[in-house]
Amino acid sequence: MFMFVPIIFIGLLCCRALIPSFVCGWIIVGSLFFYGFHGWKHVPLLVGSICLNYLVGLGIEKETKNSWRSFLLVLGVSLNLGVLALFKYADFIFGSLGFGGGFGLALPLAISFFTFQQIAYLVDLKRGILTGPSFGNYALYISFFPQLIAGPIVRCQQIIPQLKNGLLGKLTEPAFWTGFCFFAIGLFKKSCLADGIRPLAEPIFFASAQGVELTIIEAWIAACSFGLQIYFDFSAYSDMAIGLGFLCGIRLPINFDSPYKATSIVDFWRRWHITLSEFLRDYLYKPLGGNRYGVMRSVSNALIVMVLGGLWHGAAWTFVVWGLVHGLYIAINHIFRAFFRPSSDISGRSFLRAFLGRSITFIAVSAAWVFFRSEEFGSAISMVQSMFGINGIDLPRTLDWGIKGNFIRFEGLLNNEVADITLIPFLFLLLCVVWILPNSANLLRLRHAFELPVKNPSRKIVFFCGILLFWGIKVSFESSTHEFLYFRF
Amino acid sequence: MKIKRDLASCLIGGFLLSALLWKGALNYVVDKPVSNAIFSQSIIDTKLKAAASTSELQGPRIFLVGGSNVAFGLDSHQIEKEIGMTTINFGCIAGIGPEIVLSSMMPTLRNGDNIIFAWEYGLYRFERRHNDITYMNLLFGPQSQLLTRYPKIDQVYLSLVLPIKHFRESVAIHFNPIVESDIFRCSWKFDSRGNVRSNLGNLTTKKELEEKPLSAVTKKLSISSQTKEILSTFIKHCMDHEISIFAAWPNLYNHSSYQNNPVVRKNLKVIEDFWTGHQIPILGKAEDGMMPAEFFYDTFYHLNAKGVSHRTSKLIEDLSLLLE
Repeated sequence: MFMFVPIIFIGLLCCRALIPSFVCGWIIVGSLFFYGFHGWKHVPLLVGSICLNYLVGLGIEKETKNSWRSFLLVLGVSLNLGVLALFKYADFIFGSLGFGGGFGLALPLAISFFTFQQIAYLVDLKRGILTGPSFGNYALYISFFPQLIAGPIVRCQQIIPQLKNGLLGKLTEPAFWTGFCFFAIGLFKKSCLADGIRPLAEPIFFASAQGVELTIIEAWIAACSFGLQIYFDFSAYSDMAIGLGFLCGIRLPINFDSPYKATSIVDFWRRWHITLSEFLRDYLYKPLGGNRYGVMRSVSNALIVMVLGGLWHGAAWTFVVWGLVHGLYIAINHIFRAFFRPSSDISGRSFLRAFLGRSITFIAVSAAWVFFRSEEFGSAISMVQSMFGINGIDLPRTLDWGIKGNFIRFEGLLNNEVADITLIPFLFLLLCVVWILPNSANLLRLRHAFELPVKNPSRKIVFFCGILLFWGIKVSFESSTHEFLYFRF
Repeated sequence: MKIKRDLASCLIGGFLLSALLWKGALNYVVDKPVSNAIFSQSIIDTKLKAAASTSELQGPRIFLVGGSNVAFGLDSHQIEKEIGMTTINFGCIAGIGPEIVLSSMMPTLRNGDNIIFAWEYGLYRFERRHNDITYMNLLFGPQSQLLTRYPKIDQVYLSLVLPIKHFRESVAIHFNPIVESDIFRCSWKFDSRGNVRSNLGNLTTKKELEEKPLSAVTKKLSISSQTKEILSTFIKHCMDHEISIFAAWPNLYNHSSYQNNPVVRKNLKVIEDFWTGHQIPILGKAEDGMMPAEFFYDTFYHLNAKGVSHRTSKLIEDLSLLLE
């Protein structure tokens, strides 16, 4: 990263100054190198997928008969889903049906991301809300290195106009500082916060997978710390992607908006992985009927969308259950709103209501993370049981008044000794960060609307980002830095 | 595009402030060692104590130098008895690298002493930037004097690579009102000459030893420039003080994959050439140190009492020939 980024930017600036027509080609080559650096053998798949989708897109655009356009769309979507199914889901499907291990193919990096982007492109072409870009611009839109591997999931209409307007490589001062600060914040979040809390979550999940029955506190520590780890990890990647995008002159959409400040589960999904939520909403939930046909239909649509969203993350029953749990949460949320609609609007909400909403949402989301993180369904169930005291209640030894029984035990709150207790203050610190502090977009005064110009960040923020940059680089040098969690999707 | 100077100053200011803060934190904990450093330093201290106890004795001495393969694998008493020279086992831990061991030992040496190096294979690849946590814990703790002699670029690199955990643990141990830092000292039983005496029986099995060969032996070896530099400095010091140096082969489980392996053979030749290039005689053959499972205590480098006796006898045989 520390070698690749400066080379790509120096090259970009040189191209822009000397051979402007080569700017697009330079970034495509750089992006393919970036992708290939993580595994060369899947580069042909990415290139092939780009070429094929472009051709299908050309067909959809040029064809005048609607039936042929629909056929081409179905063909394109099926090919994309077929490739995704082959690489990502074949083993899972064969295994679940009891036909053994499947093909055993290695999962290509970012396949879920570039497949979804290309499906969205074909659908938008068919809908007629998009005009086909040139091949170079299309290839760049799919392979653009900042967002290629783990998002944000970008729509064609967000990127192509910027490329057509010649913004690639055009660096303005506010864009430079905003991009730089985004990158510094992202680097810090990844190396210091996400990788910092990881040693608290990991051993507890590992112990649970080994059959250790966790105490209530241990299970909650694991769930909350993993919830924080994945948030800081994924939002760090998004921040770095947005930052690098700015430095290339391209603006990428915001992907996180303080999701743990959400006061309901619907609110959570408006703030968490926003580009995926919007994709699922626009290309799945709405075509299924959305909320136009009553509460029950809206509930069943939400369930379908969330299960598929869970499956998008990974081919395992744990992801299916994670999606299902979120689907149920959303269903409950919809039903609650339909029957107990609060009389006042959001601005009139009392502090207590917001606090309650935020707490319940956080607890619900944390409990669901257990399914997302666990490798086996059995250990996830056991952990959730521990979280809610179904496996028994463990109390401090000092409270042992001689009560005998299997359900209430006085062996200590953390008696399995799997949690690194020195990291517990860090867990609370991170909870304060996600609940109280503004997020990176707020700090940099960045609005969601693409058309609004960016402003220079304040001097205080740049100073603060200088501090974060040092610690981000420092911790990246430590050998404890790990791969981004979303790289595996 | 023009870069606003005030924003650039803010950025650099924030960056430098953090760098200074980290530097200050490292200076603050330099005398507050972490558990790992207490453990490693206690081994070095034991060896220094063993060397100090012989300082009054007349005549040349023998220092057996290396990592734990020496501590667990050679018996200085046996050598002393059969060769008739005071012998100190200065085997420490391979992970801390050769530089710390040699710089600690250097002040205890005197004219006419003899050094027998039996370095672990991994030590030939030593780099200051090898990111070993035990090594770094020592450099930013009890061995901080050595760090100050390193080139600035290495100092900066090591202070960046050192995990923040070092600071956290250091402060936690120092201010822990319950736990005495002495509990982290090495609990291996050493005798007065620095030999480990707790290595009785076999704690490891042939199956475990066969699980994985040592990559330092099977991967193509090219002796690192820093190892060469460290040794050259040490050899020069020895020559100036009429100290003789001998090289010996480390103890290692004779894994089946080493036999008839051209890479292993080539690596051994590289090591041989390295010592002969410095006109340092080599005691015996590499195969002398490669022994079957029955001679090993807990790892592929650590011999048990039976192995120690066997290996030391062979070394004495080779050494006698040279000393004659």
